[in-house]
Amino acid sequence: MSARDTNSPLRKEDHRLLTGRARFTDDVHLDRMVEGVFIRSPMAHAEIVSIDANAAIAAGALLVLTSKDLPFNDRDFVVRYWHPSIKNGLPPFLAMDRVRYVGEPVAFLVANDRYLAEDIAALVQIEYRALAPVGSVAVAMAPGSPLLHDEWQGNIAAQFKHSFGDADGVIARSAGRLKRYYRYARQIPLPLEGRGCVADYAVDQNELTVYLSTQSHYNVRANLSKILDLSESNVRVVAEDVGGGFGSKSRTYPEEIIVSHASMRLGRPVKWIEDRFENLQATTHSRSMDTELEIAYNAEGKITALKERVIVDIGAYVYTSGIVTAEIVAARCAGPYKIDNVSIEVVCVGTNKTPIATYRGAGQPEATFPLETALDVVAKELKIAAVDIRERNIIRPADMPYTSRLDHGTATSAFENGDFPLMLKKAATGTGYSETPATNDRGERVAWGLACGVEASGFVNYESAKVSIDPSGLVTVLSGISSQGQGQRTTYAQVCAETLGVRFENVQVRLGNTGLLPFGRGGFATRGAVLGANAVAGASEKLRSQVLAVAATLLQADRQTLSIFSGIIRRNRSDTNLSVGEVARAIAPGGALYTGAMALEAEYIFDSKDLLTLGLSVHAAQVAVYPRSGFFRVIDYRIVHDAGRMLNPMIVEGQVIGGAVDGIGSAILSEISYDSEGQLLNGTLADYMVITAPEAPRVHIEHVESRASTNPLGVRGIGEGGLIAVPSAIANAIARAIDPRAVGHEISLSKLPITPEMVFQAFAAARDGKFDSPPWRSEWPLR
Amino acid sequence: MKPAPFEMARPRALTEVLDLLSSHSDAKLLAGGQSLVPLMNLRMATPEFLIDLGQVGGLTGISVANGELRIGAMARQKDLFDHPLVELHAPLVAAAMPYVGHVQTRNRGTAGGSVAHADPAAELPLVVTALNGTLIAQSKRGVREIPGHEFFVDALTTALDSDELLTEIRLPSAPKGARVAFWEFARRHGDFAIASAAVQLSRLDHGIELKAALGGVGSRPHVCRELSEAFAAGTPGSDRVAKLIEHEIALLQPQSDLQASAEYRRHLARVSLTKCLQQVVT
Repeated sequence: MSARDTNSPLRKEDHRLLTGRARFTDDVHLDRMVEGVFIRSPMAHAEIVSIDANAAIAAGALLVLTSKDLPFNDRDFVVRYWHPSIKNGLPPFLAMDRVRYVGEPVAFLVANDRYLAEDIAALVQIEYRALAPVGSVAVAMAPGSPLLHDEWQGNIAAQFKHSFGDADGVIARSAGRLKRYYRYARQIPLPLEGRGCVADYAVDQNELTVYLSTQSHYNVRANLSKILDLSESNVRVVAEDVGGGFGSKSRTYPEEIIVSHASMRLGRPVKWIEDRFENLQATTHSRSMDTELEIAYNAEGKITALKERVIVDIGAYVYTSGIVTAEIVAARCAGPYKIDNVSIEVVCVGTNKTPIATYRGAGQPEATFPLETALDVVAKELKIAAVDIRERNIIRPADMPYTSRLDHGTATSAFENGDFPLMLKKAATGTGYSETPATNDRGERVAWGLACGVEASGFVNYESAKVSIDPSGLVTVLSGISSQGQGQRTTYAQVCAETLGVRFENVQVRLGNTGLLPFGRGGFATRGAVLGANAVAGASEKLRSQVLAVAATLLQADRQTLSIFSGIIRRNRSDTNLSVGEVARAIAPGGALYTGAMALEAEYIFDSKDLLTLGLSVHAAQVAVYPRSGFFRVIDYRIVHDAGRMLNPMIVEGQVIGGAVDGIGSAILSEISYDSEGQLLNGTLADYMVITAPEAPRVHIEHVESRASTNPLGVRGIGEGGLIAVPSAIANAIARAIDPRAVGHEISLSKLPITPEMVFQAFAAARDGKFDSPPWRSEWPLR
Repeated sequence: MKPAPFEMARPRALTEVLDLLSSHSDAKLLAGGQSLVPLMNLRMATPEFLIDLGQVGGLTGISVANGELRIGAMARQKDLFDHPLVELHAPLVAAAMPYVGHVQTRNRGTAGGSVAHADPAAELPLVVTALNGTLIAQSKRGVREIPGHEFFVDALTTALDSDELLTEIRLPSAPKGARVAFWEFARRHGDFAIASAAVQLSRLDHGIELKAALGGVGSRPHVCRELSEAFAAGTPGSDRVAKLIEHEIALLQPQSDLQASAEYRRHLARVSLTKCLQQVVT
């Protein structure tokens, strides 16, 4: 990493995080607090015949809640946004007459402590009558398959199509065309801290405080308020320290409602901490998509048409964030390329599995993998370089602004700035990148692979901030965002210090608490810089004007001659003896300029007008593959990344490297597996594989800064771009290592994660010239 | 993920352990806890009585006597990692140690705990089998010596009786100039093997002694007997070695699971054994 520059101060949050002073949900201990456990379905699909909790009550349970005990079963979740094609199918708070996936919450039991709660949970007698499980998309879409929900005809929960131009016609007429199938396995966002909730209801004030491991504290507040009949002002959701989210905590979960309801029933604080077993089976999964891709291309290597059909295995319910990943797959399927004819159809199919929702990238890695690996095949067919096929199709500065015609919901986006051909060139030259494989002294085949990824940021419009100065000169930034460790307490302090003209050290940032500001959203979908930081900039700018107006009066000066530097008011660029703290004192009650206002403060809500910000990254992965075994290593990794203006280069690098490492795990290790009966096969971290340090290569990043025109700070989101292109780059590298010219063996590599056994099969396929469809291809259910 | 209620004894003397084992037929021994405690937290194991061996004296030593390396059952895996006696007398153990778990698990995990747990994909059971060490089992009834080739009965099952405690692992000292090789295929560093091989080759006055075993490819480590017999009769040529390897591979009964198909496991065992033999023969 580059030496620390003035834009990369040490992170304000790290001292408490590194010295064990952070307060995660399980660190909350309240007077009279009791603990609960969820009793979850062991069956993938069954009717609930009866539930008998008498023995558990006799053994000391303070409360056992089942759906029959809930007074709010008819209430609906408050959702931020909903695709019109969704045909209902939201989860109940607790399973009612039926369970639909292993891990679905059926009852909640509260006891004096967690040990006792787990012991007596075994005494709750639940009788199930098994129903035929829908264990796969193929079964779900087969004629006569049992329906998961009455509204889901053919078990289709949602379905939509986007198109422009005439993809079918162009493909039919094209001499050059390619058709391939891809599968992206079901994976888990896997934060270090699982979900958790401490609900504390104060009956005297009718006030509910919930300490929660969430990315989405305001949405949870809205749900608690509506479902539990409390006014929003009387619900406070606190998520100050959250140990990672990666998309898994971007929504309200039924458990949060139930734990809060239990606290209201008992009049005592109730804690529930999700254990890792629950985290793997009952926190939303992600990815889980099959794609059929067809592309047409001409002799010059120009992609003339793209047609995709995507099937998303969404699991048993449409979860509370809808079908966001399915929508993003459609929006980003053409990548950073000019393709004039595109058609994409997306079908969301229900199965008896854990519901899916977002995971870092949220549809963007899923969209990238088919396109970027198919491009390498086209390049081979045309005998041109992988760099060249991309160079010939990529959007150029002269094409900008290049408006995306595939946007979703109310959002729009355009490639508005950036030099993509230059970024390609930077990735492919001077980095060691080569399209000629070599054999090393260990007998491994060594090759590079290339892929481009587009990261859209700024989803879910509006974010809030408030900045104030106290008489001692301390500046406090309040933000409606939440943090799971991304460093917003540092970057927001930097933005405020720079905009307002005060010292970074004199700025403190508070966030992750709905009590701070009446409105906010949270830390998800790469919103932190594009929405959150711009809100801080807006509030700081407003406050700066206020400070200068007061200072002008105090100094009897023309306001135009004043500025603020290091917290001191300057006149004509030289310091006065007036500080921002003294300005604050002057307008405080009793001060010379007291106007009746509470304090020196300014609020601002940033409105992006629902315009997303797009950023490109170009990835080059080098792999070493051992032909005899199929085992492989990622030995070098290069990223050329456009983050727009980097507020803090050190944090940008951390985010991009973290994303890349996460992406390598996604590409080669992680897959959650179910059997045909809907039973989860790898529900512990002994079996579900996550990347660890020894598997991670050094990641080298080259930054390209093209200021985004979509927001005042000129920033682009960085939370997800590190991951998006990784699986494609690795798959392309492995395919090239096996054979740099032949086509067909890469079919064995068209499922993520790529395992050594698949690579071994790809070697065999290349050797024998036999290119069978991968075994899962037979499960493709459409036509 | 909280264990079910259980009682626990923390004896300090071996005789106390043996008394407790004879009076509690369902007792489980806690010898590092790197496998047992997660199983208990998942409630996949719900022992009612636990005997913690952590305080028992005399079980942690590593020494050499009578041409054998003697490893106390409660020696931590980290102690095997860079112990000079282990490197000198059991270089095959030293070669296997980097593949055993992670720093954190090696700090707590014990040699005897791993061997008595008898995971068929674990490294220590594999080298104990390859070297045909001797496992010392004690009970109130007396002391028993169990040959390594007979100790591992099935997956997670050993020849120990319910009142017996594994107290020591004895490995024959490697002859001077012994060459060893250990190879393992695992998706991540520190994982259990998909397939692994442990080989030791010594040129003795009366001929070549080859010790070899395969792990991860059956319910217990596989001893490559015929391979060893062939080497004892004189170094076979490379074609013959390839045939002998195929013979051993044909005897394996690996299972298909999420990590690998049975067929691929068999192939990885072939590659592992071939690599190890190439390393020790050349």
